[in-house]
Amino acid sequence: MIFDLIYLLLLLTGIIILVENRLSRQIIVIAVQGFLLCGSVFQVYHYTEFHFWMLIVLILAFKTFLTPYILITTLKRLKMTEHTNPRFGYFVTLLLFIPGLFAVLKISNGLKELPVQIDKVGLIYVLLLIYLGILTFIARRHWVVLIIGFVMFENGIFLLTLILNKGLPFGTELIAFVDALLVIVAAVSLQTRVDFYKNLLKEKR
Amino acid sequence: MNKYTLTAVSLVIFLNLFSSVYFAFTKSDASVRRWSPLIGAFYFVLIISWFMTDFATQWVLIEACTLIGALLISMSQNEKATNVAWKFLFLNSFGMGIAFLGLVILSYGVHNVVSMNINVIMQNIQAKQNPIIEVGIWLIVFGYSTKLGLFPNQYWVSDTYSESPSQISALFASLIPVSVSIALRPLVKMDELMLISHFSSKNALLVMGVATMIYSILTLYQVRDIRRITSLIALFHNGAIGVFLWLNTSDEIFYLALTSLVVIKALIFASLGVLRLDLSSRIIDEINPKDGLHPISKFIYLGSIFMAFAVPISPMFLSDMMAMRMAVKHSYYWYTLVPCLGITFFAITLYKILPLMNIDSRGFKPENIKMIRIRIGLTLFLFAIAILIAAYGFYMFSTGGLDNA
Repeated sequence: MIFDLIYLLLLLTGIIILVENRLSRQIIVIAVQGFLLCGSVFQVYHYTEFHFWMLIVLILAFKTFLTPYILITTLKRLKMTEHTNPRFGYFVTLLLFIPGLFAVLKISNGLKELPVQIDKVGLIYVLLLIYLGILTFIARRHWVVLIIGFVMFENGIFLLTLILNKGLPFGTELIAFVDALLVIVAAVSLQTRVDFYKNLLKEKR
Repeated sequence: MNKYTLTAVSLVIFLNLFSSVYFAFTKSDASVRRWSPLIGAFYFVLIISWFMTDFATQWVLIEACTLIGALLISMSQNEKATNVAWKFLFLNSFGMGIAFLGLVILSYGVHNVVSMNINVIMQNIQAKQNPIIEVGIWLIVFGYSTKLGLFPNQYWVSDTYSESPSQISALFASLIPVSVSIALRPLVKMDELMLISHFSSKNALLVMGVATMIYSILTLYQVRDIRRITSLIALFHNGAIGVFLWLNTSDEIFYLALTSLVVIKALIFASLGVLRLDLSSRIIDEINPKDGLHPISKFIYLGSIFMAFAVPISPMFLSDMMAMRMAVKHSYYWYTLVPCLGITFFAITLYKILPLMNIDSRGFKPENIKMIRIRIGLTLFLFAIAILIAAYGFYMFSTGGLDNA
């Protein structure tokens, strides 16, 4: 029951990110979503297992702390305007969620028994989280929100890997976490550079 | 031809391009020494991915090249290139994310024991036919097609290749499609093993490939920028790879085609590097014939375009011939469409670049003379390698090799 609630909360954080209009709030919500990922680790592994503790450390370090920290620091350093809005308006963006919901329900109907003790509804929430990540990427304009959408998408894939395949070998998992973080760092630094070159051009003019 | 031949040729090509970056880099004030480890890392990460037997590790390595690649694009140090690097990073990371999602679904659908080993999955796929496997393969193919730059995810290709330094474009254009092709090949085989298929991902690859070729032709007609024209040649070849993968040729022909691709892509971008250094503007219509151009620069570029399409001494010609032969053998007569598209593309390319021949001949610009000589030397070396591979291929063919049966 508690795990179903965690999966539901994960989905809700995704919906909030999709329609939220303040950047700093979106970053806080993605940090909360990162923290909630720990719940699914409890469901799949026993706390006596090495893999359990490693995953908890990775999630807390990369998803709950480092990623939001990088985004918040960039927000402050570039003195960005906080307000952002979806490409197609709030209502239409929310409506786009519905076809995904139907598609996910159809996919999950065809699934056989799940390898760990997870309810099918949990899987539906996870698939919807992945869909929300893709939707955020399509429906939002601001580059920080695009990064947040990417993080949400990665979170969904991580959860799916965990519940369908009981995770990956630890080395691959670690590299995947580091890789995702580096992509975010690179994305942030590239956008910071774009701003830098724009200002340089303005000064020259 | 096999994976080891491909690796050896790629190493030579890499050393050639690296020398060009190290000794003749002019695109920006960037410290080449500082960027060198990244260029090396880009190459090694992709080469290692060719030898992986595990889908997940292969994915991690190809994804790592996205990250390194984005940084290398920004080496040009201007706003446009940085924007392109951002686009490259994000589109590719999302594409790779979708591919990973597919890997997770595929490995779940295929077996009872958790494994992403390609051989294990291949062995179990026939016994466990189900729609989940189909969805998994489809997602992986779609995700990797983003990295290959196939329609509808082709937008990053021409931007990236035209805004990066020409040596970096050469490295990208020659190594990324090859790595993705090697990653996609087992998936095409898996798709063939599916007895009941609702939507064949192999056919999707074919459709995306042909659509990419048609898109390149339509876009080429409107382009006046010499860098963009060269990028579209690379994009056209990427589309052709999609179709070639669909054919699922024997290993010998597959690696011959990939080796040809590595050399020819490196050659066209290396010759572009020579031309751009000697040319006053990248927009062909804006070049005043009085500005002048050295005949060697003109003919090297024109020669490389011919090598990319039509010349019988080119390995590309040989690969196309082999693919065509296999298609006819299997009664895929529609495959003649591919060379027809190639001829159309080649004709439009010639129409676009022949005005370069009207530019008055002159000596090299004194400020670039050292750099341009180095680049010409390295490009001529690439020409020699291309001709050697073609000669080797024709020799093999005439002595009963390259699946002559």
